[in-house]
Amino acid sequence: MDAQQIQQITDRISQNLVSKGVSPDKQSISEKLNLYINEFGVVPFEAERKVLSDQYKQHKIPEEAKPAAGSSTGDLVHIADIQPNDWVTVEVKVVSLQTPNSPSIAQSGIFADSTGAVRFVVFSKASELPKLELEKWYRIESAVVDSFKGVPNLKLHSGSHVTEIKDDRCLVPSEPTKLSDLKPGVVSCVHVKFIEEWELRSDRMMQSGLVADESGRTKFVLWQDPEKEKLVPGAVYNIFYASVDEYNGRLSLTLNSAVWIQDEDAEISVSVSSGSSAPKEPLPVSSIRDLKVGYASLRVKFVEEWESKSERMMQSGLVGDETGRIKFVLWQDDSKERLELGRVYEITNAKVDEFNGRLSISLNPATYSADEPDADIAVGKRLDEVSGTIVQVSKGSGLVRRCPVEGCNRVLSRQNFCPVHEIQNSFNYDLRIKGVVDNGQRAYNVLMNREVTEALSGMTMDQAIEMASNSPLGLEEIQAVLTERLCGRYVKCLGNEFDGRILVKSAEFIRLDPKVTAELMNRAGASAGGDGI
Amino acid sequence: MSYEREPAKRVFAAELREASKTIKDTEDEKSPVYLLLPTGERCNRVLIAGTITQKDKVGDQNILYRARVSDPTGIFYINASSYQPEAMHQLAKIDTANPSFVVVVGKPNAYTTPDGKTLISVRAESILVVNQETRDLWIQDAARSTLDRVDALSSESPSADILLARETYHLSPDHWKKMVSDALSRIMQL
Repeated sequence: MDAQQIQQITDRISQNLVSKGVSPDKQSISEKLNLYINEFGVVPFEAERKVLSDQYKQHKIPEEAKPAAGSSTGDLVHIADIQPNDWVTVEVKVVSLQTPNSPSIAQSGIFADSTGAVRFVVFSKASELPKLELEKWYRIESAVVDSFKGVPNLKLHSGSHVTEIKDDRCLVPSEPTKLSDLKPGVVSCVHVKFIEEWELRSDRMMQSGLVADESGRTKFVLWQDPEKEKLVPGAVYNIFYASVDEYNGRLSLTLNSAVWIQDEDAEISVSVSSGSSAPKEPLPVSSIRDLKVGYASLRVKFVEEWESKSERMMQSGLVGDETGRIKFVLWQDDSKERLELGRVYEITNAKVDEFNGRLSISLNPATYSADEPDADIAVGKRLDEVSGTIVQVSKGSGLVRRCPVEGCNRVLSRQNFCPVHEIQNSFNYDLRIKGVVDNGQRAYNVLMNREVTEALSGMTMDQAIEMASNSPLGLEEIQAVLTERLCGRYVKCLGNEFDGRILVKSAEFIRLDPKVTAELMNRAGASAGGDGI
Repeated sequence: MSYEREPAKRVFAAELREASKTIKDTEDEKSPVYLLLPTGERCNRVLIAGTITQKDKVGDQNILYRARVSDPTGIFYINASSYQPEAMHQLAKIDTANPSFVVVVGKPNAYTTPDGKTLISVRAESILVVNQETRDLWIQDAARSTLDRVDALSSESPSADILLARETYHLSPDHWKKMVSDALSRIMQL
């Protein structure tokens, strides 16, 4: 932007200040504008606004209040449309009330309208709010939508406003949701058969087991509640407003918030097989990196044997190809042979299963044979390249303490607890980054080891240990520092994808190449004839 | 049940400002709400960079920070509340007395005013001060992504989202190309 335009804006700001009875410092105004517009690429109208507002502050001139963008109450929204962090007004029916589990919460339960259902809490501090009653309709203004693990949750606080709706409304329950479409939160309605009752593992449990519909099956639990009745095994139910919880990537239904009606004349044909049936033809060989649940053929090297954890297991361990490794299991079967460590195998039509988000293969339905004795595969040596922006440095990044027990090395909790070896008095420090690199098309989970983390962040592990011991935040300080230094930056990573996460072997910052700007300029200008008429 | 994190779309302020249509795939309350960009792609996460010019703190029980970030094409409205403590702390630390470059990752939010205007703000997941090189890399990145979207917008075999964008927004591909070249001209080394 040239000096003349800066001058024009400077004059406008000066006139404005004169009208407020202030004599303006034109030199400093013009320097400020130049800094914002020419050094920092700020759009001129914003630079003008900013500089004027700074001048107002400097001369203590009150600003005209403008309504803020992006927040409002008053517009009625449907439950289906609420977004975390909105302030909303809703008209809802209380379909379930539960005993709050904390003294700071006065009431908790589930609201529903015709579009869906949501959990809610009323804080005890909001003592002026009326006590909500089951089955009644209310208009609720200025509630805040919070989200816990991605599940919206409505919070009523002292700023909220509640009025009972007296006119008689009826809540039309929505179509049942398929079990395969469940998401964490509250599910308005599922239509399921109770197919399997499980032994109770705790006194607090009243009933647990499996329910199923045509699309799949889900674990459910009902905690002790004198108001509730147990389900009858084999019966079909419409269950309204069950909570859907996620644990380790698996969903389960909790029925304490729910009401259910037995559907006497319905029969659900529950699919017994879990997914695809075995292919009749031998499948072409896939890479481990490309495996999906179903069946697949592989050419792999048997690289690691694990101790069998059960009588029924014949063998288990890791097999690998150039693109990665995967767990395999072979269940007891007299017609099968054990694999020989270090040999390369052609495996045809193995079953690929997923458990807690991890894939593994079962060799029982497969046929397999060893290659030539001298065949070899460089397991996991082919590197993936991912370039993009580090959009997140996740929890568990930074300085971690690892279990010192030989061969364990698991990350300890804050209390130095190892999931296997329990409380440890000593530990080994490690530095790492768990994060997400995003190229605009896909977000990749990445894991950077100590070496890569040190190289990218410019902080050695010893410096990190010192920083953590001198900071009131302790280890959390290191995650914050890594976030500040690396989040938002462009990097190129080389590594192997394993279990949906790229184990980064090396990474470097991407440098600005002015040639790219010129190429993009040509692309943009190729047919740009100004604004289309 | 593997969860795919939404990639962050690179979008200039002048384009994000024009977005007004939101999409939900199913009536299911849990299905995410996407914002349809005028260049024909849906997004529910954005990556933006620019200069932070202002921040304000509002509220005392539920603290909310609002910030304004300018790229070469316009303004982004950013907010971070106590529900995103990390982003809130990061924003609280940033001094806005003097300009600095920031990168923001966040979720776009569409809000319709009583008079029918749609305002787009971005709820920050993280906001960090960066150097000029990173900001310039973002301009290249956003330019490339925008041009890719513009190319697809005039494709012979359009996706459903592109058809919807053509119906909803009436700005020509040339309009967006001009915006991109204006943005790039800010970082051209002459």
